[in-house]
Amino acid sequence: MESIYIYIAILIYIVLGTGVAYLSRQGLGQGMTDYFLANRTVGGVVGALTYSATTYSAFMMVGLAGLTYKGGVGAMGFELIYLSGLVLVAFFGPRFWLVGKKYNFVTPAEMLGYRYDSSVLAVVVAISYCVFLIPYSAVQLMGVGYLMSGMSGGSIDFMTGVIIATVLAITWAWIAGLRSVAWTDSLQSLVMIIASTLIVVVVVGKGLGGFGNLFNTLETEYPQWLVVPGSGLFSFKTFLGLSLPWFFFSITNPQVSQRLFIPKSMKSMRFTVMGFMIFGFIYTLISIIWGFTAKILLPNLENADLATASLLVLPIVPKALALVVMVGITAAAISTIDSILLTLSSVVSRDVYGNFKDGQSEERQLYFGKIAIPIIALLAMLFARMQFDLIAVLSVASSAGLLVTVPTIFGAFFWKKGTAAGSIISILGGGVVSIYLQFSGLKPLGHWPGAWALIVALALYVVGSYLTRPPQEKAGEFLSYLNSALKEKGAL
Amino acid sequence: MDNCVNTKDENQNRGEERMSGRAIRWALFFVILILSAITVPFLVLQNTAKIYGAFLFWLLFAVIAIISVGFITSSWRD
Repeated sequence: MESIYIYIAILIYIVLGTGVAYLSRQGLGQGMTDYFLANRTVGGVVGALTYSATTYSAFMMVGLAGLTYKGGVGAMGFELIYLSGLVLVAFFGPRFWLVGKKYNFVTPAEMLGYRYDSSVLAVVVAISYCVFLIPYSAVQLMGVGYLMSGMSGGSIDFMTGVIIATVLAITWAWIAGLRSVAWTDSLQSLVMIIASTLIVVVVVGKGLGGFGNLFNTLETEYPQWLVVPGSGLFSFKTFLGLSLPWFFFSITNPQVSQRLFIPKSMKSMRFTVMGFMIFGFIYTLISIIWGFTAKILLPNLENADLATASLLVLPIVPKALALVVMVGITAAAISTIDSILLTLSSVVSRDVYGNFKDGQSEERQLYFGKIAIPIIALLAMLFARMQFDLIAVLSVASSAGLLVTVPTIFGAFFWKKGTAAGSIISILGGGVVSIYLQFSGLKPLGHWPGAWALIVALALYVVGSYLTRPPQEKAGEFLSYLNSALKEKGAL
Repeated sequence: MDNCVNTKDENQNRGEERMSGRAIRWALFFVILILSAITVPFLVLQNTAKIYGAFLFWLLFAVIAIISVGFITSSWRD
């Protein structure tokens, strides 16, 4: 496709998004809570859309479609198990929200540091977020670079796409903090879902004669794509290795768990959760059908990740629609990156800078946080430019790596004997195991790094907690407040 | 009876971690639901190469999860 069309589509997207970001400045107040949490006043609709846009990245229409192309229905299973992980929000959502309001927490790391009475723990959690999520952001930036380069046949080079994505993510995060991120996310999530639905309907209709034919062709020509392990990609252990980290994503990944602090009411939180689950259900189904469609129309691709790019240039796809889909995939990536940027900058300023330099005013922390946004983005861009294998490994390791915070998070709310020392060795020990297994490629007994990292983290947390003294007063006060507040709010 | 109530209240005042019976029932339900999503397609549906096999099973699984979360959150109030 001629690069001029791609530039025009991206330009329209930039103008619209930046306009929305500027509009969101209305009502912007002072302080960390206002900047990073929109003063905890986000309504259900924007809440659901920003949660959806933040969660779903370019992975859906590219990576998940590619996995479906390669391995079949198992891709749908693990993605829907991820979606069902939102049941955790039914338990943890009200807890995060209630203590967030009462103690004015800005980040999940700060919350854990308070509950375990340890600023060291807050710093350890904050650093683990950075170690795993900066490479993950770099991979998202690389995704935009490859997409633009691929669609233009190489006339737009890789780094141009990366730079456009970086500048947009910085701008939209910087303009009004969470307000601009949430509002641009809302716009982007609508582009993502509308564009992907339209393209699937058009391509299945024109290319395959409708959904009935799609399913019939799958059953007759690709029956192995409708079962697991099927063609072999989704062995049971692979499936478990993929599903386990993603199931806990809603509480382990700070860019989404921080969203649990922002609803203006319990009703808004309910709308956010339900709206996201319905969005996720539809988007997953569309991405899977897109992957199946590619398998039938283009059965001999060497690289499954090219399925989307290859489908978009088919003659049956109107050029304008292909461009909208490209913008939709770019939007999916950027809405994830700017949310991660904002969350990491809040964590770095609140939990690292705030703890290392005692007595820093909130104003000073906010100033530091705003400076951190472009620094973290440039770091991610630098990683993307180098295209190190290390980046890909850490990015893949991110969900498994953050899984090691699960025992600490569960213990914070459900086990009074949990201690900071137990949490710290659990996160550090589990993290080391996760990274080591990821780098070495070892899979003891055939199981993936996430499963082993979680087992090690859990064991270290329990043993470490039994060997050290729990912060009884802090934990007692924290849990006592929750017990009564949860009852009052009708939550589990 | 009064003693039991007092003990429960005292536990709560001390900040003891307690899940309600309702919470435990839902937690057990979700454990079973998730385990079924991991095992049934591999054990029961591995030879059913039809749309009404694993594809439909996982769709229904997700719908049940969504409806269940709808039930739980319906009691949330401000």
